Amino acid sequence: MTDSPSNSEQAVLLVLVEESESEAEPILDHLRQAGKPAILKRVETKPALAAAMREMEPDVVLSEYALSLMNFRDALTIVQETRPHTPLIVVTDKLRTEDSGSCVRAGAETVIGKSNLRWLAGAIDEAIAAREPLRRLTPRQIQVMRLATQGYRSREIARTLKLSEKTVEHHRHQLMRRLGLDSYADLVRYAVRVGVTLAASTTSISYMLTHGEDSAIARNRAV
Amino acid sequence: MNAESEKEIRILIADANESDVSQVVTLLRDAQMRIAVETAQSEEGLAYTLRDFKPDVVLSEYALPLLDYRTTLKVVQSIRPGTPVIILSGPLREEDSGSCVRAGAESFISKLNMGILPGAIKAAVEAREPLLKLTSRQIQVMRLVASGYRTHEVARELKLSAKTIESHRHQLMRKLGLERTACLIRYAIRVGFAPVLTPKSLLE
Repeated sequence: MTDSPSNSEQAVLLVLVEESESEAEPILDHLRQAGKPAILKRVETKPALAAAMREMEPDVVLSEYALSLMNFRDALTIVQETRPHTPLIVVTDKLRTEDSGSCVRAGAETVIGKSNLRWLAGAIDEAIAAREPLRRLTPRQIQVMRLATQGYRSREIARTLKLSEKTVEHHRHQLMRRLGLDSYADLVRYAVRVGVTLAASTTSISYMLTHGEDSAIARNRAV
Repeated sequence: MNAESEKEIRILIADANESDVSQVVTLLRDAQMRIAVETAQSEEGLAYTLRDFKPDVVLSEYALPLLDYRTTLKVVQSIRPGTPVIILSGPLREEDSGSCVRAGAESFISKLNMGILPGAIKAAVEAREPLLKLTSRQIQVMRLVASGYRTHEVARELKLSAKTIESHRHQLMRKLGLERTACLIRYAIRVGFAPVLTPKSLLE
């Protein structure tokens, strides 16, 4: 982070999940030419990404498809745990075993080729704009939004977050109001848009609901 | 023929270039897929073939002289909603893959990287298999629920009683093995019955 303060006032803050130092320069060049100066920090391990999320508070995370120590799905998990309103864009030329649709359904904003960076600036703008409403929510409200849109009932959410059911209901009401939504279906559709919850096949959804991210709830349901 | 090749997949290819079409056919046959293929080059041809051929998957060139992919998506969604549309493109295009997927495409695959096409087709077909258990009425109800219609609104739209709608909804969720409404909506988005919500529509 060597840019001058005047520059950094409007600079986009980026974390790049990437093994090779030389990959940063073409990205910064491209963004500079697109009128979007950026400050970039490169990481290549999960702890380094988690630390960068907290310390740098980036606007966007760019991630290679797979490194030796982590892949973009690990990066998405860390982003959702630390700063869930931050978009993640996969920047790769290595999409050889998975298609872009599958990456987007895993929660990535988009997939952009390293040899074809010209959509990057526009994709960053769109990704940030899409999450503008999400920034109106507190971290607790985003937690409630995630669990509610994954399919958990207020009683189950209350148990997991160690809150009263009434408090959960209050958060749900507040977050709908702050997002300007009045239907549960719209909340789910927005949550999928920003990667707070995922669209998936029936078998994956059932699996996630019973064994998934929220095993505490799964255990409680089994009782 | 191995077990994988038992079920035939019907593929409609919207592409004007014959050598591109035969390249795709060869690629899929090499991947041990049993396929039936029809082609279309125009909006009228696409609409006709969707009705007549009833494809499981549509492969669409990003921009044909007479047909761009957004028109393809619109025609597919009005005639055979839920049919996956995979966009195939050369390097010259105007959008990133995420925008195409949010516009309703199943996936976006570069013509320089066609090796992932067989896997993408199989995943698209598999994700939609549970829908075969539903009646056309239940699919109508599922689409409306996922688009945000409340029970009485679905009832009015389909000219049925609210009680009948509740029963359809209960039945279809049971058949899909999904017991929560959020899960039904997540699955409906997966198969293209409802789009994700973009902030533009949020701020309207």
